[in-house]
Amino acid sequence: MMALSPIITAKNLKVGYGQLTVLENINFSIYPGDMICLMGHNGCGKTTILRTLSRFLQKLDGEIDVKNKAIDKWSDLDYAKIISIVLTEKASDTHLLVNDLIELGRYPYTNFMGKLGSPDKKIVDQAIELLGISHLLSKKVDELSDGQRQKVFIARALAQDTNILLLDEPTTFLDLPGKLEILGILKKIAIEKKVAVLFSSHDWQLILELASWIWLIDQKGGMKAGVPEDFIINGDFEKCFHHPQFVFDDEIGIFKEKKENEFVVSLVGEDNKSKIWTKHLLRKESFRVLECNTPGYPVIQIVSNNRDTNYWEISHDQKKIKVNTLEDLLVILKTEFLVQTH
Amino acid sequence: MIIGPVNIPFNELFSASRTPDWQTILWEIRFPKIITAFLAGVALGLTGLVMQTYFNNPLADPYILGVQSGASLGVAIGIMALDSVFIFFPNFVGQLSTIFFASAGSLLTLFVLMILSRMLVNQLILLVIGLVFGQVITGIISILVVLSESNKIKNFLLWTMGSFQRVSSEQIVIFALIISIGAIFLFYLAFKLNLLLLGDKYARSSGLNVLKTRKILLVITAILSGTVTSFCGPIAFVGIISPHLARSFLKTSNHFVLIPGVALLGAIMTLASEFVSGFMGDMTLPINGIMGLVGGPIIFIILLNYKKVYRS
Repeated sequence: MMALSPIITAKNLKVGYGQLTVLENINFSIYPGDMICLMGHNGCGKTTILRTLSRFLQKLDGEIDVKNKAIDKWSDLDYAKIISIVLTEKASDTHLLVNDLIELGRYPYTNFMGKLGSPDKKIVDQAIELLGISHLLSKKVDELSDGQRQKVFIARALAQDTNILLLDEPTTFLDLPGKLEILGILKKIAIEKKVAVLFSSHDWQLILELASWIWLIDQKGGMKAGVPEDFIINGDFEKCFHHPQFVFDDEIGIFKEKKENEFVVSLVGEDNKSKIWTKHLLRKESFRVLECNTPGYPVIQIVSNNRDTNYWEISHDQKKIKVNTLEDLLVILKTEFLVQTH
Repeated sequence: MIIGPVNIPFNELFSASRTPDWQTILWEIRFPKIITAFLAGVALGLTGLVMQTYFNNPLADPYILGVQSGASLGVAIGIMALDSVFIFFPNFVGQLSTIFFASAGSLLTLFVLMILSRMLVNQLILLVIGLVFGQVITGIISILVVLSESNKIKNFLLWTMGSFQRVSSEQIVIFALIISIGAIFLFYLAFKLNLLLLGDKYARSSGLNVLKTRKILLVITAILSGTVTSFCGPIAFVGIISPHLARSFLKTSNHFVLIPGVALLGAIMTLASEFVSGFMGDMTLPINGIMGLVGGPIIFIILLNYKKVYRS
């Protein structure tokens, strides 16, 4: 495979607002086709990085090379052919037709009248097709749902035909299917169009599922690039989102509330769907789950008759109770069997 | 053209050349008046549209935000400071200087508004500021009027009521030239205006030189509204209403469509009010009187419809 050259390279970058440094000593490269998720707690500097790359903010120090040229040496018009953006804030005007809005993306390629030629129309059509929004073209922007609006603005950015697409929290206002759809589209853009996609997000459980590369900003103002799973194993993830009230469960990758008292149970039985979800519930309810029969703690035995029907048997100190649902299990466990550890 | 203090039957309109009196009435008074109303409507509609896009505020217009007051102040100062110019060159140079002072006054007002709008988070406050600004300027003007000689006062006060009657057929050429050049420039800026609708960040990231575009728009708006104000006096409501009507008729805010639409609707509005003002037989009603009676309720309707926009 031919080695690709990076579109953007940053060395010892320092970003912030005037006197206020938000992040420093940042180093990264962005290659064509990358899909990178920028993660970190609120106010850590995700937006500052995106704004610096969009040139809304000047870098405080260090170097950013864009296509082998310093970032501030590009004219606005030429830079618009390299980087396009999708912002969090809603655009002010709402009466523009979707089609007109997407065509605005062609501005850097049109003459002073802004007349679109047939190559321009073709690129606009491709963007519309990739986003699957041809049924929305004659609607006004204010008639769209949040998810539709997000797609339309992504289409506009695609019509700009750039090497990099920057998105500030593109999944924020969306419901779960909407989030998944947008992330799927971004991945498709990265793979099919070879456009580098850099976006910030808080939906890190989805990111864990979908992103192969993240930039993690820790609370000390440093940034690490890598595979999300690595950050979970080495504990960077928990350090980054550290919060006194929550602990990170690094087996299933979720944060949960820290409880003063923790109850211990043993869970035994065949490894199947029932066991996975029993464990899920117990963890959620702040039980520490041991997966072997340990003396001194209540034992939950999952008894499977066949694939669909099973029941749970809880036993402790000669007491044995059979339940048919997890709901009952939880009630019985809490009322009859609780053993406190200190 | 057939309606006014002297009735000219419609079938005589094209044969009117036979009677010299009617010819004078038609070509020296009524024809310029209609053209003036048409041009003023075009210019006022367009300035309203540009200001609404510029300030991202559906209620912006040169009258409400005090830009026409700024023009009036410019004219008032011009009359007082350069009295001799207006006396010695009453027609051509005088008119050009009036246009210049009015445009300069508009530009100054727009410039202050631009700076203020950058500092404001809530664009509604801009409207209040515009209103206050207009009042301050009106206050200054009233002091200037009192300080100036009495024979100028009546003319000035008449002028502030708004009228399409004062433009002679020679002046119309200047008027038409300025307005059409301004309108053509704006049409060429339509794509850029569309980009501004998305906000400065999107516009800039699309490669638009936002600052330069805004400067050009400011100057064109100042010249258009300054010219109209210097010829016709401050005229209310056309600038705010015609863009709204155009948007709801044409169902878009694409400036390629809106600019011709707004120009046409603005012209229809001023022509209609001119028609009504001449309809009262011997009296000629002040334009702003009619605009207030008809335009006020329309603005109330617009405001009620925009409630939902401000809520979101």
